[in-house]
Amino acid sequence: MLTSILQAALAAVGELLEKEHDEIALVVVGGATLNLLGLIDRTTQDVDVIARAANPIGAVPARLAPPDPLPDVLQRAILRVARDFGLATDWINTAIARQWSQGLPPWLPHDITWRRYAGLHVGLVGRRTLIALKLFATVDQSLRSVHGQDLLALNPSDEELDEAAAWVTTQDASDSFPRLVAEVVEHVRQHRRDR
Amino acid sequence: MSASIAEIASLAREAATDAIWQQWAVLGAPVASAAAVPRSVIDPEALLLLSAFIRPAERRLDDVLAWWAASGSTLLSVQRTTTLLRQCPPAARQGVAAFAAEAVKAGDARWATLAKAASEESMLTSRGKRGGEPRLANYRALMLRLRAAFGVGVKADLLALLLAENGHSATIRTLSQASGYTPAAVRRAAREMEAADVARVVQGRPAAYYVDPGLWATVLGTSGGEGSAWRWFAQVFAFLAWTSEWGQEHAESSPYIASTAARDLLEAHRSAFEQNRIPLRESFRFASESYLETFAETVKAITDWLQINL
Repeated sequence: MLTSILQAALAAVGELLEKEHDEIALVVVGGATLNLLGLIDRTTQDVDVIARAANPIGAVPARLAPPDPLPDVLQRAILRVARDFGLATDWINTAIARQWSQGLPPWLPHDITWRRYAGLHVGLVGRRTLIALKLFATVDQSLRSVHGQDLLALNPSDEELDEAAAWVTTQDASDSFPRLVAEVVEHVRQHRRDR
Repeated sequence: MSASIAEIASLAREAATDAIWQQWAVLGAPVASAAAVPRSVIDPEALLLLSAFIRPAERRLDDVLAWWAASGSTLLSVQRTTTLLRQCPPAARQGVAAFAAEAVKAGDARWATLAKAASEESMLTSRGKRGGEPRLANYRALMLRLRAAFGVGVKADLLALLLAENGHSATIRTLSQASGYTPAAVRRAAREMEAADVARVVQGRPAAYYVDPGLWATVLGTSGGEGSAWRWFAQVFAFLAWTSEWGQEHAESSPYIASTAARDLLEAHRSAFEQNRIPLRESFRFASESYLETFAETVKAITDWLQINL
């Protein structure tokens, strides 16, 4: 999905919610966020929702909760927009929300930029959160994965990598996990663009 | 440049209005003669329903409906009217109720149930402009003519539909969809008409029936080749009415909201296009302002078709 289509599709969801006199705030991570923030420019398949936010939207820290189940009115809007734009029916999905069981980066409620599309508020997580989640996903799926590519494209600083690595190492209790995290961090340090 | 929502709705409404005036003129309603003369067999219930829908914007229709309630209501099927009414926008209900109340007043008690929905404000306000007897000898009035001859019922309608097919066969399913009677009722009637050698069967799966229009030419005063094919006006009229309704509902909507509703509308009324073999442009990849252009072309296609096929 190109960024222009993504924007139009989110706007369409927002208009449908507004028509139903509803307002919903979602916190989004992954490729959609990278595109919408202009951090990278690549096609993305879906919009990964990690949390819902309660009112007041835009408050810092944000009052976050697991997104499942998505409200019926939102699910209907997602399906309608999928039909109209020729997208997969799960183009907005909550698969990433499994992360709630292991814990989210503690700074996440302070690291959100909000965009409004009529009845839909989209919270875009910032670089700190993106780098942490991308590092975790890269350790999980390999450096050649799209997450590894995204992590390099984010061109993280040493401080950002250190902060991310400190959080990621808390996500898995296995003995080998810290070493895997360190290997990825080292790889990124060697292959990132000069800072 | 996309056509506006108002322009699309207006196109549908104007085509619908033209169509009903032309058809009423054929039936002898107290209206000025229409410029164009319809060629196809009139679907009387579809005509009533579209008139009931258009009526708030065309008050002159009250004269026509009052005339028809007094002189032609007994030739209409209340059951079919009720069935087709479900496919129309709710706005048609008040007009149908007003017509039904007038028909009851004229002595046709079959309309009593539909008349219950009539309110004081919705009653027909006829200016007493009464026409004469309905003109039924015209080929376009075939369905009404056969009902007048044989009574309002499934067999008269099947005969009208099969004659309108002009020697071509039609399946039970098609006849059921066109007549509004259940497939079981149509099958039973078709078999009895076959036993009476009025209709003939083409064996196969599914079985299909036809009548030889030449055999009826003497009775009806028509030549075998004159018959117009049946047109699915009920479906077309419902689509035009809903498109007009869509225009009102979405006058202030964003292009996307209007587009997605237009797509719903088109999907719900796909049969109007398929049954009449009107090409339908599929362009649903991106439902935004550009879709309104596609929808405008679709509405234009059906209104053009109506002009040629009415």
